[in-house]
Amino acid sequence: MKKIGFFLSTIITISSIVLLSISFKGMPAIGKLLNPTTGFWQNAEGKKFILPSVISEESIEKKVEIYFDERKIPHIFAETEHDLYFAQGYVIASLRLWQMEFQVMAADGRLSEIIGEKTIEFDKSQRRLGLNFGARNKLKAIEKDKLASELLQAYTDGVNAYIENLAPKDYPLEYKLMDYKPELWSNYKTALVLMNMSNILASAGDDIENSNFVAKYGKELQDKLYPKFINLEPVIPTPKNGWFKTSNDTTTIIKDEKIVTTLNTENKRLDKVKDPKKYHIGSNNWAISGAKSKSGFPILCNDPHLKFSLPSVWIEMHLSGPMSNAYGVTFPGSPGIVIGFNDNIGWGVTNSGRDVKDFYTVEYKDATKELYHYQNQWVKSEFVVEEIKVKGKNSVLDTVIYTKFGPIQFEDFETQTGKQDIAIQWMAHKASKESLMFYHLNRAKNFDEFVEATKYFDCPAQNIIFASINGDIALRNQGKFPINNYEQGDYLQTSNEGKVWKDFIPFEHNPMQYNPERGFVASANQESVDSTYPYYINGGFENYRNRVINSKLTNLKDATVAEMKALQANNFNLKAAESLPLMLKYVNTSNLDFEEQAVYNLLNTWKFVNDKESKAAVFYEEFFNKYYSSLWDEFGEAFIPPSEAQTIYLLKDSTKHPFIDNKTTALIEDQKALINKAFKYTASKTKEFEKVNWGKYNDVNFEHLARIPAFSKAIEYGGNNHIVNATRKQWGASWRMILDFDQGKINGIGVYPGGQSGNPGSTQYDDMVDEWAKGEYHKLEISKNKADYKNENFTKVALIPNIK
Amino acid sequence: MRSFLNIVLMILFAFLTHKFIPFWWFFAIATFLVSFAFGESTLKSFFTGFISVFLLWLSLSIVISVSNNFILIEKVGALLSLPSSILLIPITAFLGGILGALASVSGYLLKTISD
Repeated sequence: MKKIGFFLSTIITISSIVLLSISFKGMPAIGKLLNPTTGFWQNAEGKKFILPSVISEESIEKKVEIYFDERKIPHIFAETEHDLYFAQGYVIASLRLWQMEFQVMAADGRLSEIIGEKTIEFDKSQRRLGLNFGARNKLKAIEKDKLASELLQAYTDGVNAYIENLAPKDYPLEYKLMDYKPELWSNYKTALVLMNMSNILASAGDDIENSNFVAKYGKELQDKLYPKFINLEPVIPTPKNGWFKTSNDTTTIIKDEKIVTTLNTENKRLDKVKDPKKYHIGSNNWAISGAKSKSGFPILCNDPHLKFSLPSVWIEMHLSGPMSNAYGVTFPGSPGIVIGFNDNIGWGVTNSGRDVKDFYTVEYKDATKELYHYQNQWVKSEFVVEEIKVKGKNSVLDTVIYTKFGPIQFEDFETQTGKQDIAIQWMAHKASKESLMFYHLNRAKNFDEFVEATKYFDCPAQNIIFASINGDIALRNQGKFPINNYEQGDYLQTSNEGKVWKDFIPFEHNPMQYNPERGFVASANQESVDSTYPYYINGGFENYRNRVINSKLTNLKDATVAEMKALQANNFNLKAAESLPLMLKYVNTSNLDFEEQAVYNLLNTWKFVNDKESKAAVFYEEFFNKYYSSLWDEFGEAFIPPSEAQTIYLLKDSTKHPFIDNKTTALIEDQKALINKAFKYTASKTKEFEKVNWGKYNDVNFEHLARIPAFSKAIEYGGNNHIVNATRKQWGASWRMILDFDQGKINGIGVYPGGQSGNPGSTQYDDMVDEWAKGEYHKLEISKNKADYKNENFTKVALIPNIK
Repeated sequence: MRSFLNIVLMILFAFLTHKFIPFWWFFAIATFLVSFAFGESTLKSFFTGFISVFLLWLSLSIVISVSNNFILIEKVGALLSLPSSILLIPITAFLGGILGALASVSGYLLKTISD
């Protein structure tokens, strides 16, 4: 009897422990999570610093000193190049390990290993996009380069040294919630971080939708609705004496219209577009010369816009090594400083938006898909079997077909003439060593060294801004671009007529502006150049922010940092200023009811500023969006509607509106009726918006990377797309930096909406969100003098060699 | 008095296992062993096991939360959709208490067999 009692009680005890250690249906194991010794409680950061004050590591060459400020911004002082990047990897891992790994698992198409069945389709699509293929190609290039491989390896070793020291109780919280373990880092993963950025910034391509449009409505209408060049204040204005002369006869190449003809006769109509890419753009950068500043020295500003998230996409730090002293932000997982400054120069980026991804319909010999037509020959397809591991389930196998162009991104794509495979050729897939640009920028001393550093940057193409302490300013549209025929890359090409890119625009022909007469350089994702540039370019570009910034900078005199801050926070809505008066002109004011009259008056007196308190901004947004969507509603999902800028241009002169004249299309709309309908709709929302101002409507949310609402943060904030302060929902200024080149010294200020720690249990998880939202900045301390950090505001951590 | 001593022993012992042994459930060994050595009755073993781990986990989670300004407990409470995140403290303590009690009873029962 006693024995039975003992066994029963022991079995109950053990099975309770076991049950509490297993996760069910995505719910974390309760015992593992809740116990105070290894569970989530251990992630609650207390007064003790996250790292011990002395850490000994075998592969450290000389002593490294790290001083963390109150925001946990590290100042790393290393005596060897190896130690600098080793320590950077170590420190970033200690702050952002989960994020680093999660983002590359997503890029690599491996989320199902962590999350389970839910993400199998996502993983498949990532692999069909070939993010892993691109990362492998980049890794090969890096491994052939001594400097690049040493740089990446030191960083990887630093990350791994941290991981190897990590006890399960110290795993970041997300590992505990999803019940898995960190893997070791690798140089391949560092390459994936860049692929991730290329996917966000240089993966848009409207080739399929454009082809659809031509097939359905014809080329003439397309040219009217989707003009190739707006020619409005491009990033790099045409030089006074015109562009360079190209040695080979590019004019004949450019004027070749063969691609268009092919389309009209052979294009297969595609009904559904499965991958609608929206342009979420909003980055700005500018630099003014000493002629425009009060100090007589340049001021450089940059606010790159990316998707808001927690942990933030950026991490801020100071790297001081034997050959360099740089401060700025970088991506967790990427060595060096990506945007920032050193003792001599400052630099920043905006996305270029030029199209570097082309699509090809693949013609196979037969249903086996083993041979496809390329340049009138049958070429062997390569079948790559991708194994997607799934948490708690068997692996899923997916075969991706590779062509000479790249992978088939869309297999069995539904078209009117049957199923079609579509391959992509993408600059992001090509071998390159972008990390080296950052390495050299961190060390560059002047304009020449800046230009030299940009040689390493192929993709995602950027507008890279520059200023130096000797007073130079410059802006460079940098990337690697194939030389395209006229309109090549705008439409689907056939695998037979398409060509693997061989000729690229020479580096010295990339658009650049150096110390221009106007006293400033600036970019805001607009067209890189206008139509006079000798090579054909295409892409998705901005039309409003650039003009607001340029007009402010043109009129600027004796500028100080204060004016620069104001411009980064500028909420003037040029799009509204150019469209609302036109729209209101059409509104029939003779029989408005009380509510409609009130809304009309509100809009009519609005100063076009999207501050968070504004009510009018809410009604304008509704009014314009309703008009826009009802004007183009026939387009469905197989087309991309014309841009907002083009819509407004057509509104200016409705006689030019192709759909007004074109009585045969089903798209005939009466401008006036449409606008009145949209206005009445907007006014009818008066009640709904009684307590809604723009800040609420704008719905700004910093979402946790795994979309955990409890770890996310929402704020009320102004701005909008096409506004300099381009903040809308989950997009906005991911980093704001102002560099004042005063008397041979660079005084930097900056802020990013997030926090240095990736740990939701840390004060520094989101402490800079409020700082950012209030328009505040903090000083970016770049002093090389360690004594400046030896005080109570800093926590010191030393990495010391462990001699065995 | 002996129960009180047992509780103190269990707390000390469990606390040490927490410090040095990486398995979250190892505190159960502590209550098990103490009751195996000094347990008085099934009921008393249950209560000493419960109270010791309950108190230990309660104080650990309170100390952690206070020094963290309740930042994390707020977020985890919201994550688990608790009406109030502070409930996590008693829930955690209760969970530990029950397991401590079960192990303690097992320890005592083993003692009765071997006696």
